[in-house]
Amino acid sequence: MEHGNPGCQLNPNVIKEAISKVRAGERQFFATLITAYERQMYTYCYCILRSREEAEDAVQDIFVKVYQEIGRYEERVSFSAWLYKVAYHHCLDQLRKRKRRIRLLSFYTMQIVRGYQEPPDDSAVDRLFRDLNPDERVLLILRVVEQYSFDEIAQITGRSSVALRKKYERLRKKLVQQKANEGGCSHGEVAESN
Amino acid sequence: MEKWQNQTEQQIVDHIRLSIGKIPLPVDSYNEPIMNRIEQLEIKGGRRLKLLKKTLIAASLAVFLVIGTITAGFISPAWADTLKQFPVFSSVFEHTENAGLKLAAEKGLTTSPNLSVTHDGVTLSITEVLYDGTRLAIGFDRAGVMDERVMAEITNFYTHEFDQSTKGLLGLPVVTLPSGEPVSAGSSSTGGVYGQSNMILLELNELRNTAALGDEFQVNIRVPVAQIAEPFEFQVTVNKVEGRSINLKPDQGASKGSFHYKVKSLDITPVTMRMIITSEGEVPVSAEQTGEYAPTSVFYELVDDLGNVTNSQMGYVKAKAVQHPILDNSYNIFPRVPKTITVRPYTCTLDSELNLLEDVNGERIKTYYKELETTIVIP
Repeated sequence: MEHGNPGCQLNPNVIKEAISKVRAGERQFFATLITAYERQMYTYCYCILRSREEAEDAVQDIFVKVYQEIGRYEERVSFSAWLYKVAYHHCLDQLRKRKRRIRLLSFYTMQIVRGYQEPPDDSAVDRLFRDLNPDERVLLILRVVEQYSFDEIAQITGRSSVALRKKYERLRKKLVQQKANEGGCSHGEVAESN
Repeated sequence: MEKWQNQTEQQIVDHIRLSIGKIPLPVDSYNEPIMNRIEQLEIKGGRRLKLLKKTLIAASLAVFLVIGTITAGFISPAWADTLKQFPVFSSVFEHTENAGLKLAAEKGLTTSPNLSVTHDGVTLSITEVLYDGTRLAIGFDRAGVMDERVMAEITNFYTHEFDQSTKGLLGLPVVTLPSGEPVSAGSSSTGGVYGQSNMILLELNELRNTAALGDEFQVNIRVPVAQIAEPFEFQVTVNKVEGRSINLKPDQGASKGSFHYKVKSLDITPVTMRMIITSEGEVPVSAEQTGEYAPTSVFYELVDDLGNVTNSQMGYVKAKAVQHPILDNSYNIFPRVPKTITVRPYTCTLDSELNLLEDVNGERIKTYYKELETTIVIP
């Protein structure tokens, strides 16, 4: 069952068949699933982790994990939503590991930490995500880009759909404010949108 | 999908979709490396299964032992009350990757204050404290929150502001002396413990203002928690670990070109090593670190007389050949007090985008300089 997934270019039946084949032990069909979803997974991991190297590692780890766990996949949720669920938890783990490495307090060490965290370039995506926390980035991708329903996002993240809806409303206001601060629209427009 | 309210919001949505859609995949496909890894995993499958079984047996045994201890014999009402007052905490230190803390927990060098504070259904407990004169480490356990994250995202490290959107996630703890003065440290770290969803470890390293307080003193620990107004505050008695501490002022070093460094002090406690180094001159550059490549600042690895190696946890500055006039670093201790410690300076290599060069195993490539090594005799 493949729905709510405009990012996936492949025929849902092809995906479904590939899943069945992999489950039956025909490993080579897993390549079909990688090809179908690797771009989405990379984009998602990159937006959360904000590091190309870490996102590349994450994509590979996630697909290996998905292969190992594919027997647990239940067709009542879309395969892409299940992939996002695995990816979500993997990225949270990566962020936790990163936090443990962070050292702070003295100003001097702060400079090191900041230097380590700053992404090397200043692309549109980096500017967009600079002021968003990981939860907000997840919500933005799943809701705005992938266009999942709040119930589906709740299944992926394990949060309640009511809380997600409220969070999304706050996020919308934050983005409008962010755009206003960048001089992207006049004060009149901001007042109107609120 | 709900309609965004006006043209501005629609523009934002379009911009987001466009920007995210433009993120390039760095390679054509990850198909090959992923399929290779899967193949390798399947080849090793038999071995993996055996390991899993061993783990399961070990886990079952551990559970059995705990149940056995608690249920063996009769428990008097007085003892039952005592048990209630002392929740059974797992050691935070034992679960960390920090060799010094693990060793301290195993040797019983830590103190267990068993202090708990509950507000609004969330309980925070201090399970362990370790102080050796140079480092103060505190283990926390959280209960009453169904979230596998422990720490909230810190949005500003200067002001300690943190994301308040999820109730029960923790901000940065603040540790103060009875005078109200914060405990001053050269560096600190706060974070969850890998695989332990309710444990937090706070480490204050290279302590600066506790030496005059003696071997026992009080600290106040305050931990902010998201969406709970009442502070989680603890009064903790800190006891310095017993055991031999070695404090040396070697004042010895080495030179290469214009670069020169000296080990000003080396402190070895039962759980930590701390080394202060001063240096001057330009960071040495190897032949491989020219052109688009450049060295990082100089790092100092310690090697004992048995060949054991320990490194400090220091991060790196994303800038070429940064010279640090004074470095004050903590290291994990060696398995036993060594007869000699050799300081082995090295640099890592940055590419033109200031990324560290790594080998095939993802380890930083290090350039060592034999002529910069110096060996300190431990009395």
